[in-house]
Amino acid sequence: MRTLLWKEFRENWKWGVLLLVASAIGHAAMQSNERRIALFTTDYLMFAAFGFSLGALLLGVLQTVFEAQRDRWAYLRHRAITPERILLAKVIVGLSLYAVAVLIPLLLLTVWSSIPGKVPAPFHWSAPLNGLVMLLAGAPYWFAGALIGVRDVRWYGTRLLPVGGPIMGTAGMVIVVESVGLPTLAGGCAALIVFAATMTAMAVATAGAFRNRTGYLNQTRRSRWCLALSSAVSLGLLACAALMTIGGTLEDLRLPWMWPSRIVLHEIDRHGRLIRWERAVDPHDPYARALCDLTVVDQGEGIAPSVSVSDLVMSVSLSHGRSDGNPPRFLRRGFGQDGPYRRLGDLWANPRPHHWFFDPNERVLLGYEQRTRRLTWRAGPDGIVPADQPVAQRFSSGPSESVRSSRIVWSGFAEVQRQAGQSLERIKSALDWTQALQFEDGLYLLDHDRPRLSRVYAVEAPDRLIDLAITQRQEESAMWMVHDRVIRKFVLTEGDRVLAPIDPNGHARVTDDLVRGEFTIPNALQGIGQFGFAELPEKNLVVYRAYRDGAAFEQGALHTFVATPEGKILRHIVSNGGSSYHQRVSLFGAVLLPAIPATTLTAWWSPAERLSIPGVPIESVVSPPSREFVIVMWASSLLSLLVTALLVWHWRFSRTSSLGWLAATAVLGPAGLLTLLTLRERVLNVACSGCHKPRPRTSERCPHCGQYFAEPERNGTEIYATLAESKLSRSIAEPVTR
Amino acid sequence: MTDNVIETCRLTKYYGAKAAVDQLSLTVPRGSVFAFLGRNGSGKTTTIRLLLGLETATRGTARVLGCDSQSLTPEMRNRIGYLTESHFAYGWMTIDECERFQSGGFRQWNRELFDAVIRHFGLARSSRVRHLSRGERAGVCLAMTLAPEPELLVLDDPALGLDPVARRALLEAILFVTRDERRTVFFSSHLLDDVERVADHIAILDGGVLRVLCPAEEFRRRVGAWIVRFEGPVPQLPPLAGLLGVTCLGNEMRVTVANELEAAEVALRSLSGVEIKSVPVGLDDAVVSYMDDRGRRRSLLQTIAGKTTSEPAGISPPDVGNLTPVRGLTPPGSPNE
Repeated sequence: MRTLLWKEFRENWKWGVLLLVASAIGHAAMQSNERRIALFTTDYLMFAAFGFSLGALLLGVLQTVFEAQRDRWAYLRHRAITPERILLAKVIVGLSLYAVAVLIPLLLLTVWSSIPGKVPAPFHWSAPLNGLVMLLAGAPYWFAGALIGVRDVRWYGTRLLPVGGPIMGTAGMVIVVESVGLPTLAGGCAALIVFAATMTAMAVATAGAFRNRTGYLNQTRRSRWCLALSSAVSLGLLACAALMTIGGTLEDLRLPWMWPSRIVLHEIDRHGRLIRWERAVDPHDPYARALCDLTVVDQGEGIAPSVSVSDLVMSVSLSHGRSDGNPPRFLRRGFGQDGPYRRLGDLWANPRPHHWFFDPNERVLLGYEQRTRRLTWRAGPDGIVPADQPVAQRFSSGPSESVRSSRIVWSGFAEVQRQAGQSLERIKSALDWTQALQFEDGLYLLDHDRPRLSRVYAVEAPDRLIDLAITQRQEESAMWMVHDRVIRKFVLTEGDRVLAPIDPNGHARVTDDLVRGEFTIPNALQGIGQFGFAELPEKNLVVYRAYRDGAAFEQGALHTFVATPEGKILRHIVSNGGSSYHQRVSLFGAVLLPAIPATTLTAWWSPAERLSIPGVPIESVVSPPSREFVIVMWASSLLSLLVTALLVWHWRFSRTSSLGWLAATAVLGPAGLLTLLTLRERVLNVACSGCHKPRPRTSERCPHCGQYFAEPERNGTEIYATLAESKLSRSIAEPVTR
Repeated sequence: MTDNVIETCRLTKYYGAKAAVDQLSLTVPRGSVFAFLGRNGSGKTTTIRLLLGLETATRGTARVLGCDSQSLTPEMRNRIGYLTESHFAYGWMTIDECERFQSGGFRQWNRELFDAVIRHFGLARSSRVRHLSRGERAGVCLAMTLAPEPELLVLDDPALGLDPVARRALLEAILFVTRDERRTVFFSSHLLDDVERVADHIAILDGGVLRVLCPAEEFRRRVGAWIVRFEGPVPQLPPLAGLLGVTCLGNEMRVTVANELEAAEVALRSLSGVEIKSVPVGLDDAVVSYMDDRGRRRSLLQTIAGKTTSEPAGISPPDVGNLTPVRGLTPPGSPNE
């Protein structure tokens, strides 16, 4: 084993050095922006996810592809060592080189980032965690590379397919890092589980290939399954890519038999109605259909309001996705990319003399000077002090994420105001929203240049400010705030006019100067996802979607308030459903989609159920697939299953193997059949000399008549002497008969 | 315990639609020096790779040292020495490093033997393999193959590309190994002189099919050749059982026959030639007869003669396809026996 390790290292250290150089250059390039610690950023995560994986993959290929040459492989393989130990030596050396090549630049960058005066941002020990997780995620790619290098199969066939397993592993790790987050126990455990599962599958598949480079059948069952699993994932990914490419292309062609994609929108019309309507995504497609009027409480889903498209004047973004209200980190550019510290202000804006961060442990703001790149200021609710002085007061909580993003898009607001005959100045605010910091105790303005922190709006305890909505056009801006006192929730508009649905006894009602009625809203309002407000000549319209939990995916119902210009609430409609995009993927989607899991998942995971609120009419978020789609999907899956059954019968698989492939096709649909076709070695049939029926040439005896293969033709020149009295037993041949 | 170190039963290997090895049933006795002969592409290397579990058979089985070749354990491989066709060794290693690497892969290692072979080939231990000539590299590989003192030595065309001196050194090394009667050497080669000197058993593959499997002496005994001289044109050759080859040059005809020697001589005498004489058949002549499509195709000499001189009237390539197979000569392991 030591000699194998020595040989592997001597042969491959040069690849490790090349990888180290490439990794170092990549890390240096990632840190090229001197205003941030690159290790925290999503850009670095993506670099690590792709770069580390590619490095490991290439290392695996280079370590094996030359070794797999005919006599070289024979020389290496024929020794008193199991193939698994040969693989182990390669794994130890390969992964060590990979780890060193990745770790050295990573650790150097970590140490460099931790030195005060290098980066104007606070350092945290968790900085290298993203890189370390991606280092783990890249390790299975080494095995994929080894599989690619060592397997003696066609390059344009199944040779590249094992990459699918690690790709899914990386995707899982990125999802863990971005959704669960690190460093947390749950995130660490989830990342390790994904890593262990991927590594195990790839290692077992590689061990099987080292035992038998050419054959699939002669590998162990575990190796076969792992290789098949990884290949099936690749085929699934390829199918998705093909689906998106071909489907999109065909949809662009607008063929008559294609189903155009639909989008469901919410728009306010001239008459102050909030219309949910459906139109084609293609702007050339005149299709438009009004679904319902959300300002009419008793209007059923089946009664479509009469509305003209030309009357629609303002869109209200009420999408169901999480991205509007609480996007994952990789969608929040410029925010949350500094580890546990929250960067305040836009990193990508013009260079500012100070960079501000919120320290969640100390609950103070930290100001780093760009020039010295050192901590120069601390700030609490009472103001800013030099960094070497203590802060008198601390914030009760962190600033809201909503401060950073302009979540409400009032694309048609100015037009509505103009049509309503109202002046824009009425809602114009002098506040610079880019300076706004929303804490639970009020709204602050942070002047990055001076620096200065001032509170412009205070909320007295036990009230707390829970949300801030900002609207903007290029030269005007306005601001609405939402704050909360455990049992009180209200919407504050500029000019001290308040719409406040409150909940003193499990009920909600309008209070303050707008107390006009009571409404039942069982779900606790803890945050506001989307928010719309329209002032029309006859009435005002307030639309918002409540979150059950400000940080979680769960969303509450869609609330629509219709009020008089004086603030009297006329109607309060609670409904469900939001703007959605219905991607009709044409028949290609149906052909490739596995019917059984798709149907089961649809039945089990019901969006309507997730969003159900007692007493509130429900509308399913995901519209059910069309009948044609279902028919094609089931036909495709059943046909795949039938072909699989015929193939396993034709190829005379064992009962276990047959059931396994049938189950795989049932679960994976056409991808399962494709996996079978790509992985199984093709068994050519020949005509039996006895019964003239086709028989596999891998079987000693004809499965129909039991005849052995005919002896090669002889002409009397053959000499078999002395050794003809061989004691060879007939039973030797039996085990290979399938 | 069987006395055969290698046994194959209807071993078959297809590459695509072509059978590289076709129903090979072969036995190699313990202690023999077994020459495995055949033209390029006849399936020798494939057979060796099948025997060592480096390829998977399409059907049939092979047992080496009593163990299924597809599941050779490290212990079994420890008892088998294998010299690859290209005399592979890592080019970046020195001879010293080759020894260190190879010795780590086997349970026992005879350093004196390794040294002896290296000295025999006149090699410096500090030389890098990539700087060695082909013959020198063969010496290094042979030393690495012999040093574990394997029970079975499998050499895939060991003399390929070697000069006469290197070939002689290689032969001597093989003979050195076979001092121990328990050791078996199974080697493929195209150099029939070498085969004649060291082999006591031979097998000939032709197009993946085993045509000869017997002791070398037996092979020489069962192959005969005659030269018949005629006064006039060479007459048409009557059908001959076991006809291996016919060469016509002028008014002489050389006929090579296997197995049915007496019947062939009678038939040739009936042609009423001026002179008929039996000529000694060397191993190389006999083997070449087998490799030369056994009479189905004219030899190069005949082809040249046909071009340069007028072809003798009445001569046509003998139709050996319709000949009756010789009774009783069936290969071992034949299922229809």
